[in-house]
Amino acid sequence: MKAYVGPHKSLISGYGDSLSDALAQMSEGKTALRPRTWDDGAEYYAQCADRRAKTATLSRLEAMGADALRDCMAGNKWEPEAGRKTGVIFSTTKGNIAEAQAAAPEEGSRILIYEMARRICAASGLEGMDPIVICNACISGVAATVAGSRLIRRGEYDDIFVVGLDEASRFVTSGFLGFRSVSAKPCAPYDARRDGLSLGEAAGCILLTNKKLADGATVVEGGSLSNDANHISGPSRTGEPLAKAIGRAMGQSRRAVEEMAFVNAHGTGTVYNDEMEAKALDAVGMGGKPLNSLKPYLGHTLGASGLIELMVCDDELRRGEILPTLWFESLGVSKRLSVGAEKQRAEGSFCVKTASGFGGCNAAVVLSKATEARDVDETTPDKMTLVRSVDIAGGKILVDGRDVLGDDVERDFGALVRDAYHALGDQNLKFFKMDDLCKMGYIGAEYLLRGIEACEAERREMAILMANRSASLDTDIVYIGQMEEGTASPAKFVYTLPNIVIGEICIRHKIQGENLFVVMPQRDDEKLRHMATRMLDLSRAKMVICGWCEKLADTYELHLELQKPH
Amino acid sequence: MKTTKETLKEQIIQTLNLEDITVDDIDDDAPLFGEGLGLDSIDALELILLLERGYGIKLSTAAEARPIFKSVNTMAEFIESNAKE
Repeated sequence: MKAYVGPHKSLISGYGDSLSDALAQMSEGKTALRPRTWDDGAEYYAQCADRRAKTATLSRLEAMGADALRDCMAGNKWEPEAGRKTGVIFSTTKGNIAEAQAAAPEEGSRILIYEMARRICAASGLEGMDPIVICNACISGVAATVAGSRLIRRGEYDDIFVVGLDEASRFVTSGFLGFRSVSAKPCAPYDARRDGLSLGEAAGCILLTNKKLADGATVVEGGSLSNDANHISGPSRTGEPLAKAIGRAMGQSRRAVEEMAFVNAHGTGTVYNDEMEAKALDAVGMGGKPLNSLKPYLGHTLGASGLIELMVCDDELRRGEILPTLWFESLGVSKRLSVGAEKQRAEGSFCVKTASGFGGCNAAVVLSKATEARDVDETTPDKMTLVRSVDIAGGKILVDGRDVLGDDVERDFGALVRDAYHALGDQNLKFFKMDDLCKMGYIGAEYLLRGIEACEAERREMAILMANRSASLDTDIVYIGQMEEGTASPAKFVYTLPNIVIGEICIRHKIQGENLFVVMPQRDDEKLRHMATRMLDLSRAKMVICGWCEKLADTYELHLELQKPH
Repeated sequence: MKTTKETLKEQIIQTLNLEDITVDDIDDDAPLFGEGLGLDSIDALELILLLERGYGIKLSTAAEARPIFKSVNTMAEFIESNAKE
């Protein structure tokens, strides 16, 4: 079974409302980045779909997403067909955050990412669709493509639309400016003068299908996800976990570097990201291969970036030529990379796309020409046996149903996690810096893994799938309040992504395996276990952490399971 | 009256959520980053904001902050000679 990419891909961005419009302008060396000024006079560049607006029933981002999804359906002449199962995967970091207030939303509000996804499906003629929503920082787009291709190959779906979307909202702009990650000039990836990223926004959609497509099509082959287990915002200093993801994506596709056409990396233009990538690409022997970053054209479109950049890769692969990395002059990373200020010939049967993001996450995927596509090794366990479970709810912490604090003290959330932390006898100065979602996940994982015998390699290869309903909204609300008061804090902003909880667990337990955060309308343990075996590569995992971690205002609920795959 | 150093230590503890740390735990001359309090790049950004919002001192680059954030002593010294109140 192969995961073919439907020939028509849709892209809505500052370049206009189609991928072909964008490709034509990119090919002429035109950027969609434009100068902007922040409230305090700070200058920066961003790529914005300025002509897009909200409609009577849809938010601006929903309208962009629905247009992208509908365009992809129509362009691929897709129609619902009896006997064929269709799915939709959304990839976003912040969804409708531009519409959010500094207060908890009402039930069914579009601020909840799943609600946004459901509305886009309904507006596209897919009423009743139960979309999969991946919210995994800046690897979301690549991770959604990897997960989608696995779901096709493993026979879960016949067709999957992957929709990637995010806005360059005031929320994210404020956050990245506060992080001092934004350049005053257009971003210049890998260049010696680079000093930060440029933000962007887009909605894009591709169709993954098991229907054999004609020559000229492409196929998503192997993919891999990994975690740095190093820091929640700073990338790995060695690049090793990204290198591992690239190596595994290649290995799964039985591909060798020699036949590769090119690699399109994340290339944000920040000092540390690009340096980390250079080390990773060097480690996998790709330093001499044609490389580019598309951020100087589209900016960093966050949850959309991995997906929409893969669309450009698809075009480049078929043409055998890659776009220059605009504004590149001289290499400013410690390892040799073949970055070009001009177009580069890039012949080969496949390319590699990578992404890395906050929470220490990395993703890599192989895209190949359909005529030369290979079967992907899909020998991954599909069953799991429960080893232990932890629940945190109603002022109690239960390990396999047993109350571990073992007293009758009534505790609110703050007291519960603080007392649990002290009861565990842990010494970690980072604990009290975490937001509540991370504190709860951290305590849960601590009880889940305490006393479990595992060698270092077994810990390292552990896989994690976590889910919740409101993503990081609990902290988003606090951050919006800070923005309104002019006291926005970088230490708060970093927690406005739900997968940071996975990052904190990975750092604490040195876990570098496959990991993914998804958003669902309600807790469904059975479904989550199924997703873990179908969306992750568990071929190396001796253990899987799978579960629910939800915190919003006064409500909180954690249920984590330690599972043994087989 | 509290000294600049004492006030600064309280502010550091509060800003960086060092819940299990007291003013007495922080040596005037001990390194703030790496060892000691184990501060990291995000904490550095918070300290830059502390200088900006608490003392009206704006640092133009993060690199400028490095020697200033060496210890409570270096920070207090910098604040005393640059604060705009």
